[in-house]
Amino acid sequence: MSAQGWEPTGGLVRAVVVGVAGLVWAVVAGEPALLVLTAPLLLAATAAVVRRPRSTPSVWGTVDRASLHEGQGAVLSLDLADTDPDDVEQVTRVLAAAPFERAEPAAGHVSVLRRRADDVQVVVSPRRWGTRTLGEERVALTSPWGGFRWGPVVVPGRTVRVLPSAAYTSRAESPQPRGLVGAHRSDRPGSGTEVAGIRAFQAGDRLRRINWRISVRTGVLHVTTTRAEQDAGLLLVVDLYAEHGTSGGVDGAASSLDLTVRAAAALAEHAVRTGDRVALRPIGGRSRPVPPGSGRRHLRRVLGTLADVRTGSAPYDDASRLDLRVGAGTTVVVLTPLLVDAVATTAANLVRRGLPTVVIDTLPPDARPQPGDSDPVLVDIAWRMRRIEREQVRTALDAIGCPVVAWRGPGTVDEVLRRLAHRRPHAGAAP
Amino acid sequence: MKALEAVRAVRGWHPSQQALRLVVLLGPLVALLAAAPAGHGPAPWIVGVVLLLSVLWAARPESGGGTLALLLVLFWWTRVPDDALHPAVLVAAVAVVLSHLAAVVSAAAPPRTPVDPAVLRLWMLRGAAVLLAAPVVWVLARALRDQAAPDLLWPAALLAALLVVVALGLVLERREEAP
Repeated sequence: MSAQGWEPTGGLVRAVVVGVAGLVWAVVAGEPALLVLTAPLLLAATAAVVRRPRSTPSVWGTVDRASLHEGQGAVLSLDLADTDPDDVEQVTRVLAAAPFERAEPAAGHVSVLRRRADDVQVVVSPRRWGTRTLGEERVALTSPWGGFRWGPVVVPGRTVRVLPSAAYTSRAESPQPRGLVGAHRSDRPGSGTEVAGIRAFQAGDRLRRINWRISVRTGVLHVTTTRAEQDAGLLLVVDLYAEHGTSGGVDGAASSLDLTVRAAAALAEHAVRTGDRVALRPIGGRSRPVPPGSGRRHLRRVLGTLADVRTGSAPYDDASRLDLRVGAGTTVVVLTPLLVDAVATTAANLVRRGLPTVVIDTLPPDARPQPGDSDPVLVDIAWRMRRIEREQVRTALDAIGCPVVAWRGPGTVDEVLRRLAHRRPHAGAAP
Repeated sequence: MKALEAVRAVRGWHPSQQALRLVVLLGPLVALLAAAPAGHGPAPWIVGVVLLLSVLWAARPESGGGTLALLLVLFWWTRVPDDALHPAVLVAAVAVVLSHLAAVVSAAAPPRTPVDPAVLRLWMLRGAAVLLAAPVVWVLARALRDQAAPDLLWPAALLAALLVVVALGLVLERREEAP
């Protein structure tokens, strides 16, 4: 970023005016005391003029990360291209204040000698997921002896995708794994490592499966059977109709959208780590679905999509139009504050089809609507009624076998998934 | 209300900036009050005006308040009887230089920005270097004051001083340009 040229500082102007005035006054009025007072200023002004800069600086800012997780830090570097090193004595950087950003040191206010500029790193840490512009700052350069200043100029930042934090580790099994290979224990016997039981030898059993200890004791050949290991799928349905509550960033209060995005990210991360396929289906708002896939690259796609989600005021999808196209072996996790009937209806339909479905309630306990111009009392009554309806929906879902749990961070879904895993599939389960 | 807002704003400054700006504020006042031991204490009106200008200077180190405050200090020192070469003028010179340099350092960054210790060390060295001129001029002036000076002595001295400054500048400039 190149801007106007070097301008004399107020300090140089002051030193020249007071110094020259004192010198002339001392001579004209015969007052040597004035020369004593102003001679040091004249010397300082002379040094500043002599060391006046001649090059035209160009300043470029760089961010060392193209994407990062919320709470992580990115280093902002400053490149003083085409600038004579002797022209710049002091570099001043002031990072533009932005919501959900924390900068170090001194909140991004740094003024150091140029030779130390590379040693002092400005680190900015986004505190909330989303697409953010990091590193916008104002930069000023000061010449030796503080005589001339270049800037301040605005150095534009770089658009960075801030991915939601995804720290979640679950040891729960997938309820209905399907497929040929995978990390989940199957209901069916197979060539896995998890012991299923010991039974009498049958034709076709492998010899290495014979349990010699039992066979010797009983006098009849017995084999140790194991369960097959199969893969599973996870469909994350995220409700983007509206955001409730206030977001305080990764280390503050969480809004419903924060909880939705972070919980979805954590579940996707866990599914990919265990080798499962994961798909994302946003409903409401503005976002594109992500088809099923696995692997780190697919996870980055899911997290990137989650980082870009926006709530929208689009008309609510009709429940019948929410065709999620869920295949067998897929566990559906619906992340919603449960304030839109279409979402609850969709979850109920999935359960009726025999698909293991869990609803994660992402409404913060302290969420309140903003009254705006409306009567606060009426808004409060309406909100209480809405919460009562919400409780009825929760109860109804639970009654048809769709657990509803509040997201409490790591481990929230474990217990529910375990319970679902031990249930037998419904008779009318999807093939 | 405005005073409260100002106090709140000052409390938001970094402590190092607060300290520097305190030096900016006190410098002209000390230089003015140093005239008292020299035989001509400052009148209340000039103390008030200098204080106001100093407050403006401390709040905005790049403003012209500092220039006016220092010119008023010079004006008062011209009213000190005799030739004002009392040792107190050295105290005034130190105060003037300190306030000027503190203003230069604090103006390089917004008030919330901490002052880098390396920057402070550099300017303290520079301040000590330029301050050496004050006692040198003071000693020379005291040595020459009892001698009858020809009419053209002071204008010639001024011309010589300017020539020295220009010559010094040219020498330093050539040294800068040398590879």
